[in-house]
Amino acid sequence: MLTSRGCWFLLCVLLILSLGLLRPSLPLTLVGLTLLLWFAGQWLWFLVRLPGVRQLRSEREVWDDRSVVATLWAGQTFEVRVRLINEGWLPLPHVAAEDYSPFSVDFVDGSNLAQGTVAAHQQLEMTYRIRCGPAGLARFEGVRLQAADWQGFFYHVHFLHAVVILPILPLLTTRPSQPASVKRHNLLLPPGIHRFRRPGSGSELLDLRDYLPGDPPKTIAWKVSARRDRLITKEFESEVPVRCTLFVDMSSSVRVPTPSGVGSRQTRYQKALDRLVDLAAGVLQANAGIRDLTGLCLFDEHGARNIAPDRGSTHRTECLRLLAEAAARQPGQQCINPAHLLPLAYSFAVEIYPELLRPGVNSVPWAMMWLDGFSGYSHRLRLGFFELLHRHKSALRTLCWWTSFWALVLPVVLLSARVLLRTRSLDNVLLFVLFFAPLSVFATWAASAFLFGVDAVAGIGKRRRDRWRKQLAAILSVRYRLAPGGLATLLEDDDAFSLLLQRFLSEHQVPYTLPLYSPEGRYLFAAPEKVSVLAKALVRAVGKGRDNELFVLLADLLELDDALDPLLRAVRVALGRHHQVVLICPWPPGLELPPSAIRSPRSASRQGAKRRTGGGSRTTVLWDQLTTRRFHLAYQRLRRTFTRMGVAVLCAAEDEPIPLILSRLERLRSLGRPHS
Amino acid sequence: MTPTSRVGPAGHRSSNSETGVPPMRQEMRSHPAVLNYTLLCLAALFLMVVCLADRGLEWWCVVPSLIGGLTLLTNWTHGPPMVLLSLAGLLGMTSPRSRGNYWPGWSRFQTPTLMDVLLCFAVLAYVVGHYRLLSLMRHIFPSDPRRPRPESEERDRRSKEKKQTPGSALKRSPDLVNGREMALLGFALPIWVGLAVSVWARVMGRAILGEVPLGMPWTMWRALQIVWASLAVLAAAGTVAGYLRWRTATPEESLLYLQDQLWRQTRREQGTLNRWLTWARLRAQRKKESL
Repeated sequence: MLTSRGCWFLLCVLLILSLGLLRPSLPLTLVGLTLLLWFAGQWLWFLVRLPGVRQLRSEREVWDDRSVVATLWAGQTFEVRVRLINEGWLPLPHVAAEDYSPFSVDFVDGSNLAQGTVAAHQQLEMTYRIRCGPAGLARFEGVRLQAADWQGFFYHVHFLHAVVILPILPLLTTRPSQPASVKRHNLLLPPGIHRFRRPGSGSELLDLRDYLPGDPPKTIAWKVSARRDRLITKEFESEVPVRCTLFVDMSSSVRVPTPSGVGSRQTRYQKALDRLVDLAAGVLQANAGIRDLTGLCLFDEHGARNIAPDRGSTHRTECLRLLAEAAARQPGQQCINPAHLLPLAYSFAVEIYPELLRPGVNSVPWAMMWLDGFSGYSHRLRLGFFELLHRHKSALRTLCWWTSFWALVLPVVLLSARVLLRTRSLDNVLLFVLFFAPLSVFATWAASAFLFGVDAVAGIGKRRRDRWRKQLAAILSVRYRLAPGGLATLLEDDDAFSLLLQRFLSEHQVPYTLPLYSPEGRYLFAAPEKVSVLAKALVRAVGKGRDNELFVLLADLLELDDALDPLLRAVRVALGRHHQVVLICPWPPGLELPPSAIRSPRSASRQGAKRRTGGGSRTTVLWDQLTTRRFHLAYQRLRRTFTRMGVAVLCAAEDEPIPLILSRLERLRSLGRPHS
Repeated sequence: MTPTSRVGPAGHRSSNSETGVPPMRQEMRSHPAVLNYTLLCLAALFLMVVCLADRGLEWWCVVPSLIGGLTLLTNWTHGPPMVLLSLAGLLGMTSPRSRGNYWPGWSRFQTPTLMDVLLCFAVLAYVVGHYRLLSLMRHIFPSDPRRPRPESEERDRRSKEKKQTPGSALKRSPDLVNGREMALLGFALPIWVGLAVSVWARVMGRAILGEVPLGMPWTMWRALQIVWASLAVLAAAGTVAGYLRWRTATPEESLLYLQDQLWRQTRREQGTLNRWLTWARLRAQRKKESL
């Protein structure tokens, strides 16, 4: 690819050569010839070495303080080492390599850029440190390579795809008040074992009853038997492990990102799901500390995934890995106008897939840009004039051709008819047609030409959008192995294209935002279907549960009052079986906490400060107040509904520390268990 | 909404040197590599003055060198084209035609003098030196409009003392310039000039001229030969380059090409079909929602 610098130089050289040949001037011709030969030599040399750039091999290692790691931890710092090795036998042109670090990490120091002329069997190295963000996945895409000659005349971009996906596990928090996992007193049970007032094989006496045939003789209470003059048997308490099952909401409602501040070069997004994952990891860690069995159920509006309660490091790591994978999921919604995601997706594709956007393999016909456009059958019912004009240019063209056709055919037909039957009315019609047909043709063509001109001027952005859409649709169609007509389908069907765009961005871990409301004003991410999924999962867990289970529901149930019935029934079943249920409701980041959730004075003062310093226009302030009020009311309703049944409802707000929630869980567990 | 900012993970940083901070322009100027190329350009400009003065251009002979010096001082990207154009203007004005000799039957028997060869040498040396200097001082890769410009970054860095700046990898690091590169340049310059002179002698020599067909003027026949030879070379090079490109294409690229060809041939028919299908799907969906 010739750069603008190369273009200007070549133009000058050709000008000099032409002038030298035409004037004629020997020195000028010689100068032009020298420069032209040198330029051609540089081009050939660049061309010969270019395949070596595409055949570079990359090696990547992520180190912690001691060794290479395969998993990352949220909030921790790691070192990334990348090597690019030239395995060819020719030196490469000047190459600048940039390692494409994941979106979910922050750059700390070092350099993810390296440049140089890599000789045969030599390498380029990059070393930099990253700090992991919240739990999720870190996807290292590969290395972006830019090659140029030393003069900057020729240029080539290549992306060396070397995808490495590492899970970022949620950071495990330690609780200062957490009981030690070793037995400290003889009266205490071993960790993970809890007393349960049902007859069992424990060591604490529960009750005395009459002897039944088959009772072991060692359980006979001899003194009591002697006193009552009949055989009495001792019954002991059960010693059972307490099993805790976490139900974590993964539906779209908790995956909707909200901007939480602008970083160095990128807006950071925060999801309610991040908080839920942190809480789940905290509960998991706390339960592991006291050796309680912990199960996990990840559910969304489509289904649930269960992991049976267990303990041990393997189980815990598996749970954390699943949580990380779930946290990396992005929201998906069908009825989204693709224009929202198109600039982001195209810009990303330019970075990552430059070879798939070359005009040689992914062309955009000029006729499509200037004459046709494509309609892209839209959900939007009200389109503006310019948008309509841009989309229906082909109809305009068809109208012109049809007008011309009928303007030619109709007079001929009428003339033929006049030969057969001579009537006055026919003569009048013929005269009318002969007069107005050319006029209408001229008017149609003139109007069309004018409208095409208007579109050419006003449709610059639309043509760019069409080009982006065509090129992205082609990439998506190939990437997701659609049928040969997949490209045309994606060009016409907004919903299919939008879904694939979201999938594309989500797979590459590119954070994106979506409009929360449809054009009709409907909230798109409520996902009421998840309530029945959660209810089924809870009933299933109750069915498989034994004794003294603790079910922690980490679910966003705000403003779903109409759909809560199945869940309430399931909760009643759980409580009826003497299990305990706790509901932890995620709170939208940045929103003022509900009054009942503000516990610490520090948190309250921070909330007050936020409220006082909230700037913005009057409309924005009013809108914020309305939203806050709406959420507060929804939380109060939810709390009232569940508290009536004896279910504790906690708000998993941003300022709420994990230890506080864990201690509340511990208290609930202790209070609910007799004699413990 | 346009992607004015580059999509990428947070904090892509760069560094040209080991310290991780790209050097400032003043520091760059004192770098040995930059000094070497600057000296090369100045020497070439001086040689250019000598060669032009020898042609009797009087004070006009300093014009290209003055332009070259100024552009060297300001690192103007269009410096070499400006010098070349001024040189072309000067030499064109002093060519035989301008002195009234109309079509002197080409200078086929004219042999280049030492000053002509030195002029070629000086121009080539200046062009190579200046462009490599621009790669060190300005940019070697074309700037991406979505990235912030390096100049503005440098300004920001000066004012806000930012530690690291993205996008500065557009420049070539002067640390990468070694003695071997300079030696190679010194070795290559006479070769290119010699090659040009020999091509000139070969093309203009009577030995390969042969008989001019159809009685056309000699100049036209020579021009046709040059044009066709150039086109043949370009076509061959383009074919080889294209073949190499397809040889190294990935399966995705090949698939994309096939899909693109299919779509280009049938896009109107496919578009009509899919439009109706989408319309039917949405209609069914609306009906379902209304029930």
